[in-house]
Amino acid sequence: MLLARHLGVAITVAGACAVLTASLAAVPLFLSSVGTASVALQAAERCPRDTGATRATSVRADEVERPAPDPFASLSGALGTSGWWVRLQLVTLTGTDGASTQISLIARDDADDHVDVLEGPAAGPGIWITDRAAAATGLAVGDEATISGTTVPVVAVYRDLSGNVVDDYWCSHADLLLIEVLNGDLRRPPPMTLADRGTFAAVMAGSTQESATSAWEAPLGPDLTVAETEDLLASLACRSGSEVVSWCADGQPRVPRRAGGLSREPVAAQDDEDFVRRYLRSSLPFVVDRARAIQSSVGGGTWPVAGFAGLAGLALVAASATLWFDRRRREITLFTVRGISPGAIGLKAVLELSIALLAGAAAGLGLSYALVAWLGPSTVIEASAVRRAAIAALLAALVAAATVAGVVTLRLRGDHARPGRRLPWTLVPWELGLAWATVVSHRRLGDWGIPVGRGAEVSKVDVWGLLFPVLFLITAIAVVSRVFALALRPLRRTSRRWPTVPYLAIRRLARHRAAALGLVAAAAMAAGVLGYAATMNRSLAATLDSKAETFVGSDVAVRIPADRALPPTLEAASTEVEIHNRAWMEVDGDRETVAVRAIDPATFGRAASWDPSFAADSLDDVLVRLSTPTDDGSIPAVVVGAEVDGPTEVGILRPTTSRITVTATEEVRAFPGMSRPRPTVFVAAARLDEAGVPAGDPELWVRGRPEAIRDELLDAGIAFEEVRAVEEVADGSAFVTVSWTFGFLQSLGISAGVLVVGGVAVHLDARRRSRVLGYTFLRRMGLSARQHRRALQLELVASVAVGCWIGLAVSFAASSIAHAEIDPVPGFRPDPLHRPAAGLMVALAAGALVVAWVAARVAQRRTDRDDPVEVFRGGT
Amino acid sequence: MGVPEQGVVVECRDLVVDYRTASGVHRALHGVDLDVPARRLTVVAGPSGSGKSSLLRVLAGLHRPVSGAVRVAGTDLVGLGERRLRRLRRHGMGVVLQNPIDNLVDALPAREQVALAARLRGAPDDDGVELLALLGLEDRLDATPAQLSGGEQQRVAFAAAAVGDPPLVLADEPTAQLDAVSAATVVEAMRALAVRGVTLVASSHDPAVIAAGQHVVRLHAGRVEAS
Repeated sequence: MLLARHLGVAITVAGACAVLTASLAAVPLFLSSVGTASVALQAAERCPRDTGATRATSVRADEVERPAPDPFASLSGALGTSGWWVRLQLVTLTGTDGASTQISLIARDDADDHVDVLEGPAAGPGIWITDRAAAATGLAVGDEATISGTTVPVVAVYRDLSGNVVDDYWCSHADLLLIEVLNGDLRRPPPMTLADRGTFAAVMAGSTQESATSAWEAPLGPDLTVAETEDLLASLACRSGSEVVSWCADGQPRVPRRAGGLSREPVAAQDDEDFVRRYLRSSLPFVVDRARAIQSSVGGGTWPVAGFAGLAGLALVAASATLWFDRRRREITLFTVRGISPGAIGLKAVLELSIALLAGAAAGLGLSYALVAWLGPSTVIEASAVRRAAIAALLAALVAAATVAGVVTLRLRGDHARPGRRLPWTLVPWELGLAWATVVSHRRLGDWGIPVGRGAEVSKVDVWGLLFPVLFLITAIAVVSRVFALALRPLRRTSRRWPTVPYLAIRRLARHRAAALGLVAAAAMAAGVLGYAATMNRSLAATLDSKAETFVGSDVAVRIPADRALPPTLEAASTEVEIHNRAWMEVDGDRETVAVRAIDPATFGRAASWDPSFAADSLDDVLVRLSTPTDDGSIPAVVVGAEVDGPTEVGILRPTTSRITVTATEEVRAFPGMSRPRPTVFVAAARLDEAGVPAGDPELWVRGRPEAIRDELLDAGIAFEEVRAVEEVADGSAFVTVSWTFGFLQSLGISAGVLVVGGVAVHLDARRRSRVLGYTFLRRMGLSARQHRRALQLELVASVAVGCWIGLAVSFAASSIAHAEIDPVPGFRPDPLHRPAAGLMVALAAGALVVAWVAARVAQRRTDRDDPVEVFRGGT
Repeated sequence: MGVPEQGVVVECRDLVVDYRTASGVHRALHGVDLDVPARRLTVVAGPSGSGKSSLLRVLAGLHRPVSGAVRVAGTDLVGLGERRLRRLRRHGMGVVLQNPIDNLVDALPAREQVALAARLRGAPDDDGVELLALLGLEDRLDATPAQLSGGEQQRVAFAAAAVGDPPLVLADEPTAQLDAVSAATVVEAMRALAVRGVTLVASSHDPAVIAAGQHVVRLHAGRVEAS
């Protein structure tokens, strides 16, 4: 009942406790989400067979129709639907007129659902041949074909599957479908012929091959957590029939339990040797290993951030305890004069606020769960993580209770400080300490770079990368708050000559200085953290894409037969580049190994990835200079990765050495298609041709979506070999740690923003009585409702909106400083790009104005509705 | 800690009290000497700013003097630690504040207000009902602070302050926020308590209270003018 009379205080305490709880509880939930997502991400990057389970065996003809039972049936929860296949390679398909071709023959469940049927299917058993096989043998639906001496009916013709990529269903048979490069030519594999089990058995019985390769395959089930994946791994280990010490004990699956929790070591390599390679074909151990590594890496970044957020939450709890103290001051005074000790009054505060604290902890737990489910990389969260989060929530509630008791006790002791004593800490320029910590963190940040992930390695967000901006933000906000506080008193004096609206706003800000400063700081922190995290995520993604594009040269680089004409749409978006990878250049008297790229300046610009940061001049200017002959007869060139001065000799080995002299016409920091780590020389292909250098390996660089380019090439009947694609260069799961960590920071910023809005509501509610009474008096003095509302709006804009704008400005400055140190691929151009999350920042800046405007309007309406007499009598 | 049958309950000698303000240190009391006789109503009178409330705050152990001596029921307050001061406030004195509503706990009925004070002091709950009846509140035992008038609130506060027979009851301007009729009931309550044997010290500039005082001390500008 006592709490109900001070609902605003209760909500404030609950909100503060929710911040504290959410900060701590979010980490185990987020890491669980990260683990689940990293398993799913890795599974999506691989052929389903590689992350699921495969049991391969050899079968005789009589076993084809009755294969061994599905060994993975009992694991259907963790594994997807399993399927069986059997295949023969290099058998001969002969048509009715005697024309023949080599084919591979395969019987697989549901295979007909995964091909594009061009003709048929006719009823009954038989074979499905590709259009390529049909063209080679003259066979059509209804014909009788001969395979290794056995006559079988052709029941369907489907589109040939061979190409550069295979889908998830066919990737188990990529070796039978991918185009090969032999002696510089692109060569398609033998067409794949499909058969039902009976037809396959009949063909096999009639052939000389006694056994065929068969396998049961099951993909990884959807949405598996890391723990579930580990359990699956242990089950598979036991199923292999071997006694693998660490994963299977006494025939029972047993996940090796290591140090426990988040500090578990990754799956040791010997486990992989123990059973996976010998008994199972699966990348699961690697997937689990990497998922744990990703969890550990993300955890390394999120725990310190959560710690900071927790400290902020604790500060809010302390502030809310102060609010309780101020609201209950009358009663506290009464108890004090009756001789009740500060400790007992602190205990009373805890008891009185216990429901609010528990409600806040529950709300914080719910908020963190909702945020992780909404913004986290996966919605699937382990039950054990929820338990850990619940324990964190309980601990947070206890810490909050202790803080409330401590603050109330300290306030009481402070109130009874001896006369003449004054707490000096408010006079200490503690911003200097923060500034020092910021400088130290920035220096440490300078030593940091994100390594490229190799094997089970993952990129790691160094704790300094997160601490620097947080410290920078706190320092800047502390300085601004100090200046704001110092400015209020002279502003208050000066405002006497101002018009009514700003005068009233400044008076109120100065009167409630602590609350105004709190709002400025909270809004700045929320907007700053959100703006920084969003900007860093955007910059990192742009940097990765830019580096990948620079490495590839365009979106996709492919190799196609020399005599094939491109479709017009591809022609308009592509350029041909000749590659000379065996070359040297004279640099300072030494021969340095280089790569040479012969480009077509007329078409290069339409396909190449260009960033204005690469050179002072535009790409068009660079290309014009490459095409323009030099006075000394040397070949104009762009050299990346080495400094050359004047004409320089370059030797190209193809197969004998051709010597040319190049002159660097341009100073560039990066150039599309540059090699790594060798220097790269770009010249016009026509100039090389004139110099008598044999043509290099041709590559077609194409701008556009890789899938669309692949489809267009296949539709045009052009066999191609993909050399590089941007999406493949930037290894997704190696860098997710970084984006997920900044994502966590971003979600904390969002929750802080939500709480700032709540804080504004509580702030306005807390001052309701004084506002109503003040408004009543001011109305009598001729103040209009509109002026009062505008003064309220100005007051909130000066605190909430200005705080938000300060936070955004500081986040821009912090990201400008930090982004250069956060290089996902150090040593490869371009340098990290700075891409402010402009849309989000503008929306936040405008949103803060809207919040201030709406809050002032609502407060004014309530003020208009309130009866001053009732408010006065209520004494609240 | 009982009430002395006779003699002095409070002794102040050369009491000096300072306050720190935004404009510097303000001296509220300049060497005040005071004796409060037992079982009587002592009124500290004087205009606003004369130091009445400061004197009562010192007597209640809520403010420490810069110099001088203060003894309450034989205990030296100046040298007392916080813990013993609290103990003295809990068992050795009752305090009634100026604003009636400040003396009561929200939402508790009158009976509970006094019972709570009695429990804190280790006295039987029945004493409270008896005191409330003595102060004319036998019909208002179950009324909450919001249902009581200002005068009734202040009388409940006196009952809570006097329950358990502390050696001293201090009242800071107990009628300052009351109308004349309500103030008269409070004055009657103080008289009744004095008759019952309670030692009362009330600060006031209300003539009715001053007239009711059995011992009046006049303060002016932080000095005792007359006693």
